[in-house]
Amino acid sequence: MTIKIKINDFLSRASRLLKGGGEASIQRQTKSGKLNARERIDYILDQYSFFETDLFVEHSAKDFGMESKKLAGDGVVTGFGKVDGRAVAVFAQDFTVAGGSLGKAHAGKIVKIMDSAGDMGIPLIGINDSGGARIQEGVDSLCGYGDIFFRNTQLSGVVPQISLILGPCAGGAVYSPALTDFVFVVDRISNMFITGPQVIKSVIGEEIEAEELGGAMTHAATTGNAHFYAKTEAEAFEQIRELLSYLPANSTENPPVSKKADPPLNPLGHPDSRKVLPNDRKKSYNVKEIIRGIVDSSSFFEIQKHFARNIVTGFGRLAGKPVGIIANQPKVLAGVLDVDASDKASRFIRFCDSFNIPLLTLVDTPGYLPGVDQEHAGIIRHGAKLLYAYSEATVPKFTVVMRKAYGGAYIAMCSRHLGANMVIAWPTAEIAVMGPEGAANIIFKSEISESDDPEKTRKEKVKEYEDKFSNPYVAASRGYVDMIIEPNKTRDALIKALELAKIKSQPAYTRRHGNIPL
Amino acid sequence: MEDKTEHLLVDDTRYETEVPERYKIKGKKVTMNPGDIRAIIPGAIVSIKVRKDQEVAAGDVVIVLEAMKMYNDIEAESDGKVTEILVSEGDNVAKGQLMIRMD
Repeated sequence: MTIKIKINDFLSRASRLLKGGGEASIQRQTKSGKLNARERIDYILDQYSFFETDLFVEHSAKDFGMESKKLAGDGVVTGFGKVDGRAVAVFAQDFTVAGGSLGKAHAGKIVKIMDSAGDMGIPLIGINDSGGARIQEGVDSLCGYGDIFFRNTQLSGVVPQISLILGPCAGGAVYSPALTDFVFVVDRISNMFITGPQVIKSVIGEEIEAEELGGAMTHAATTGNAHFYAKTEAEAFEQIRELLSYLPANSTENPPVSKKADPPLNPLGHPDSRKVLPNDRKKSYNVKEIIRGIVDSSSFFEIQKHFARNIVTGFGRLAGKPVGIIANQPKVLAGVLDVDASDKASRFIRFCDSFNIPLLTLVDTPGYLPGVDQEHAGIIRHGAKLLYAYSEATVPKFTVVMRKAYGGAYIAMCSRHLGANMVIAWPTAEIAVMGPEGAANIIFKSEISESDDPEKTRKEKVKEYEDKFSNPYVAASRGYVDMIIEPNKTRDALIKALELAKIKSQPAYTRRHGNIPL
Repeated sequence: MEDKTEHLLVDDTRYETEVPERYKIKGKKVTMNPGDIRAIIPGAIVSIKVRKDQEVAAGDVVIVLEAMKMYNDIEAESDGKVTEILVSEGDNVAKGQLMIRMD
């Protein structure tokens, strides 16, 4: 065979494989409102940066007619590329090839790209769009999934792992994204569940539509399985690119410093610090406006926006340096801590700690959400996660107590006692065991009930407690708070603190690993 | 997010804040009577093995519930007497629904 024939043969094989399941399948994918695997990779990566591997991989299954079935790339596209000039590893399941089903060779390709990501120390992006296990391959499919889950775990905290759900992701398959750091869902396209509507109907008798059971908004707002929600695939790709701009490539690197470090458009407390918070402690405000008034302009990037809205998590930059932000949101549920908020914040804290991202905590919380539902849902063990996550973190931790910091929630929101490097309080801070009404009702209970005018006495006692304890000075007098400053000085103070900060070395205890309450 | 003037009571202080739907307190009285036998999964009552006023020992099967494609024997957790039977054979029960009361 001449060289010319060999080259032509190669080109014709490659061009066939690059078409995945073929023109007709590609048309079907487009008609169903979805991009295909290669289009998605092209959108996410910098132009011309995709460097494909394992295009020629084939399955070796023999049962159920598999021997005669030719599956391009065994249904998954793998390779490397760049996002904003920084290397990433990527895999994208190809729904046009056997429904993107996972067989042994398919899984092998993913495992290989995961191992490469770990060896090279670069982020892994996984695009899920698959009907699930390739039934014809039986236990080999299960082996494939197991191999992937094991590696998700081995890579956890080593390189950032990002999952996009751009199609069905059901049954066992959904555990891979669940093990990764960030899950992106798209309206009307993403679908995740362990057991689907048909199974649920026949076994339990409950009726529910697929979209409501495991669609994008369900996971963004109710289950907390998703971290980012987009209306279109294009929006999701933009979100991923933006997310990566805050993250180091791996756990040995620092987060990238941005050259763009403009001060906020509406700096906090300028010109008047008195307008930052409402006068009445019972009135709420949107903490995101405060965040935007502190961090570099346009740098606030929220995570899990629709889930546990009583706490806000996300990234921001201070003089170009990324920080992880956790803030109580007084506008929702008065900013109390509850089961979902504890889970949301804890996972985010531990992600930041894995990747050298300093933590900025903004506090305004009246405590934990009261109620039987919370107690029976295990607020005790979920709330404990937050204490554990903050205590465990050795990245620089800065806390700003803006207003209320009551009781156990004061401790939990990265207090000095949990290892904060710097605790700043505003003059409006109230660091106390509880609010003045609750405290006065307990401490002065007999005085109030024995009084001739209980209401008048109660009001007097509430004011007495408020004057004495609803402030930062008691805590500051003990050194529990490092400094008290006005809101409009917060940004500068934090930038200075960040310059001085260093990651703490680990304590000298020997242990295989701690046992975080789960 | 629309502006709702709802309130949340925490330690005697009424905060003006948004309260998402699933957090709205229904105001129901929750009592956990050890003698209550509730359905732990939704299903259908296949047969009721006891009568009112019957003496029952811990471990006796009181109801057979069809769920998860299986017949599930629901047992009494402690000795006692059946005081109330709130369901009939053929009924569909929801998760947590009270089926039998015992003393």
